[in-house]
Amino acid sequence: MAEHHFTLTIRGPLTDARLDALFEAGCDDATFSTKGELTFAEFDRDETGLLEAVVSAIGAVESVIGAEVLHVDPDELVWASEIAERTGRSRQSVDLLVRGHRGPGDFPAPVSHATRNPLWRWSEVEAWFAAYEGRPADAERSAVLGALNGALEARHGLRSSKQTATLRRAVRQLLAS
Amino acid sequence: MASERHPNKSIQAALAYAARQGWTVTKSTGGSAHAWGVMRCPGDCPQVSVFSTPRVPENHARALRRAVDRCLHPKEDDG
Repeated sequence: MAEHHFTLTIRGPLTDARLDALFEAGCDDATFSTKGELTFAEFDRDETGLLEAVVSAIGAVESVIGAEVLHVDPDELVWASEIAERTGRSRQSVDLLVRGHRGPGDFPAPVSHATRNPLWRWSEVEAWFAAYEGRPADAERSAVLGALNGALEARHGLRSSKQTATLRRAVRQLLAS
Repeated sequence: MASERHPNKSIQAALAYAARQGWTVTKSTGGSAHAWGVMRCPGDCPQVSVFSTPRVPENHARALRRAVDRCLHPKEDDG
C-alpha cells in the first residue's frame, strides 16, 4: 500500500449535510473546499495503486446522493521538502539544484511563491529530473488520469445529451477499437 | 486567529499558519457533525473545510497548509 494524492472535482456546492455524508461515506482521508457551484476533494488515499485509489474515491464520493465527480487532477503541487522525499535526495541537494548551484540549471520555476514556502508543479519537476538523470519521464500517471478523465467526461456527455443511445454506441465503438 | 483551538496539534499549527498569512479561520457553529470549521482566504480562493477528526490528521494539516501556500493573493505579512 502507498499513499496516493489527487483531487476530485465534484458538481455542486459543499453544504454541512453533504460534508457530513462524504465523511461518513469514507472520505475522511480528503480535504474539502468549495467555490461557487463546485466542490474539490483533495485525497491522500492509501491503496495498492493510483488507479485503485482514484476509483475507490470516486465510488465513495458518488455513494452520496447527488454527488457527481466531474474530473480528477493529479497532486501537482509540492514543496521542496516533498521533492526531496520523492526523489530520494537530501533537502540541501534539492535546494542546490533549484538554485542552479549544482546540475544543469533551468530548474522549473515555482507556480506559487506568495508565502515563504514555494510550491512546484510535480509534473514539471519530474520531467526535469528525468532529463537530468537520463531516463524517460514517468508517463503512467498521466495515462491513468487521462483515461479516467476521458471516461468521466464521456459519462457526463451521455448524461446531458439528448441522443443518449446513439452517443453511447459511438463511445463504446471508440473504446473497443 | 480563531479564539478556539483545534484539538489536534498539527492541524492547530496549520490553522495558526493560515491566520498569519491573512486567512480567516472560523469555528463551525454546529451545523455539521464532522466539520470543525472553515478557512477563508483574503481573496477568492475556494473556502476550505476543516475536519474535527480526519483519518490522518498530519495529511489534513498538510492539505490546509498547501491551500495557503498556493493562494496567490497578496499578504501583508509573509511570516
